Amino acid sequence: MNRREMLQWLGLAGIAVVAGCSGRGTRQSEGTQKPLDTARAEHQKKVGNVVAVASQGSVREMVERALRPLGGMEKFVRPGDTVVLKPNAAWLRTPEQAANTNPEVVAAVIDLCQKAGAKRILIVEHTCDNPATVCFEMSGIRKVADAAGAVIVNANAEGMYRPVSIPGAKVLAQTQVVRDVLEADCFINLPVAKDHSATRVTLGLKNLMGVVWDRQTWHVQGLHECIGDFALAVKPHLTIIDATRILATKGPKGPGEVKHLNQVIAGVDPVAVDAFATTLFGLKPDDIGYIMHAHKLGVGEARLNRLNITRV
Amino acid sequence: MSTATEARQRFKAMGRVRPRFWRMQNVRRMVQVAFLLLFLFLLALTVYPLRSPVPVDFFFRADPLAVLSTFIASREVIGALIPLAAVVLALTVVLGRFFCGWFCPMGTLIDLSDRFLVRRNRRAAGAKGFPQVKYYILATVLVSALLSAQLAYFFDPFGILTRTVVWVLVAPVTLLGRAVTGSPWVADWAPSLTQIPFIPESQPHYRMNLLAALLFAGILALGLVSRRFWCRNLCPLGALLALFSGWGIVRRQTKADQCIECHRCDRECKMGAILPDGHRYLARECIYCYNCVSVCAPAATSFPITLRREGFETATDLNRRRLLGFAGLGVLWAGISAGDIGAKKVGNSPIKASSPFRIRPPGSLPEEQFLQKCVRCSLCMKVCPTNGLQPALTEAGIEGFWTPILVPRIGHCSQHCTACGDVCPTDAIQPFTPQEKKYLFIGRAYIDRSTCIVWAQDKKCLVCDEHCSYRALHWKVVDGLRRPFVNEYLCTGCGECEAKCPVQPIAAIRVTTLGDLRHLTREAQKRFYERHLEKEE
Repeated sequence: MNRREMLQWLGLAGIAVVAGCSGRGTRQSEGTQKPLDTARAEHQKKVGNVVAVASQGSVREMVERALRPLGGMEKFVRPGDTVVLKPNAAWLRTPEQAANTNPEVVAAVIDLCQKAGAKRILIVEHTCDNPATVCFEMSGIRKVADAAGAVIVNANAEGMYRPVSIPGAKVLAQTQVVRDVLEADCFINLPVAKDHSATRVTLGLKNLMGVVWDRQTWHVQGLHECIGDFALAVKPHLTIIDATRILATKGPKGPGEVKHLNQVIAGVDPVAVDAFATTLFGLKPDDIGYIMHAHKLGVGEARLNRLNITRV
Repeated sequence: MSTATEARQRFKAMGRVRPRFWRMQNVRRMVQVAFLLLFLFLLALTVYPLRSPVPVDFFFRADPLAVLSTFIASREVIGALIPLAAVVLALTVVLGRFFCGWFCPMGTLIDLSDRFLVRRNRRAAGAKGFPQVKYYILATVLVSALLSAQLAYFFDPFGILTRTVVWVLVAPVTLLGRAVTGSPWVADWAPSLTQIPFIPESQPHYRMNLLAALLFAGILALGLVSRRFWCRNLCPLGALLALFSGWGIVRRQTKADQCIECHRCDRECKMGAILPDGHRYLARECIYCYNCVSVCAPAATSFPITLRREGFETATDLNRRRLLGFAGLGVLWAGISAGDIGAKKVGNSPIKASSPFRIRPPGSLPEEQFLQKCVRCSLCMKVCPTNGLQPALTEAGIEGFWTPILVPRIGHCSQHCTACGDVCPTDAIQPFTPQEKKYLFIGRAYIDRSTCIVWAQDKKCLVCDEHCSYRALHWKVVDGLRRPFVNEYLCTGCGECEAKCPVQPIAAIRVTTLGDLRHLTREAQKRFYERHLEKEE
């Protein structure tokens, strides 16, 4: 083989690798969230209205306790699963400033997933601030992920998303969702409870904006309606709200007043968990547009008297 | 029988001698490649957060032209820039103009491209060109600097090369890198590959990339005329080093009794430095590439340490009339810069009439000093994590061409980032700390009520407030709806609101230079901020 031939082969191989890896076109087909197996789907129904509130012990103990009324992590994560966690790591803020999810909560959830046999744990976040890599570092999430061997998926490139249609939506007909979220065996939402300038509070449903590509248009279309509509398309199998400390003013980014509530709230119904968490801020579910919108769409239950609130 | 004929006979009797691998020519090539790689490596390290063991502006500190031009234009000696540039000049005095042949990455790239152009330029190899022009360009540049107008940036080889890499070459590298690292399959197979720090998170965009590419391609294409055309005839840094190189102790010597008069040395000298007799050479043009030693079959050529003057020609053959003419061009350039509308000041204020969107990075010197010091190296643009720093076209007037400006719609000034101040080689952007950023006002946001969703459409939208790192937006109920206002004492002009505003294509909240406090000292800026903070409380 002479030099020219070798260069020709190398060029062809290079083109093949790049074309194969980027794989444009094929991956743009519409996606939907991977359905749960029957056993897990039934369990979701069984504990559907349970909202567990843990307020004692260390962060790690609170996460464990909050999962007890829901049957423990084993009911959500099976051996060999790919689990996607969606904490809030959107901001260039330190853990003390309470704009992002407490890394201790994330660490506890990663550990429980691993104990339940998860094969791969992905932490997905489309950050609001840039650069995203620094967001992950400042929020402390990178450190706990690296320590436990979880993979951070920096969802700041459009190629990582797939279009998703939302039948039944009032405003948001279609949007793009991180591929890994759609393909996850178990999708766990890990929001931090915060004051929010646009929606008064930000909780689980609002946190899901971090797996969406073009979310700027949501503000123009109507933020509450879009958040509620989106819950029809992508439903976390488990929501664990970090209220160990909350950002009580000047949310979502702060710096504002940080209150130490020392609580962790968990449930499978994203609307129910959010509805209860409004009470942390002295509000009612009716005060928050997106919770009521999701409730009316039938995503979940927002009436507090219909919920089985279990304090552990 | 002549000496050459005897030498030829002796040479034939010697037979073929294989060239040694560790000859100086090859050592020089290795050094060149090493420095080219170092240059590219330092640029790759120029990312936020900065974690480079070597200052990433290393090559600009070792660039006597950029340093000298900055010192002259700003009438200020910057201590940090002296050592490396002084070492380069001192070594040039002692050894000669080795810098161009061994270390300059631009020269290395020209050598590489000349190899591909060699079939076409072989005939031109012996052409002597017009080496005086580079001195004239140097005169233009330095005279312009004397009148406080920077021009060195346009001809400075490190500037040209850095801009080309940053504005032009980062894009294809990113494109390829992201095609591989952004692929779902790679993420499944090797997740660590998705986080290669050299590959930007998203495609950086730069204005002017085509112009930079064409300029660079033009410089390489000059290799068709003669080898190292740029270095021989145009490079003012080469001219500056040539001026310092008439005293070197390493001098080319030829043994007349061994020379077979094949004239390969003078035909193949890539600088056209060897005169047609093959013995005498232009000392200021020689860049010590050792090609003449390698092509000299009877080994009659060498570079010993000596002070012998035979064959050592130091004349520059400058034409006084032309020199003055080019110096006049420097005056003209300075005049064009100063006479451009962008340089007009508004009344007695320090504000210039150039575009209201001429937003400088935080820590930047007041506009006049900034323009005198900025060497347009584009390192700040490379390091800016949001890609918001862009080369100015007309925003800063002719005198501010290619200087960095913040274009918030592309990217804002990230709250904790101090990288532009850290990488700026001439401290046109003075180093600053994240804590200082809250009072280094570079502009101020204003809300366009005719397009703002809240003001114009009575819809709820709080994206600007949500993203503001400095809590500079406040809300008042107007006509029954809470509506945003900008707090002028907290807004730093970072442009995060403009970057994230959902109104397309022109944001409903925009930053202008109104409120730019660069003309105050840093202490004064701090007092300004604190005084108003007290008032608020």
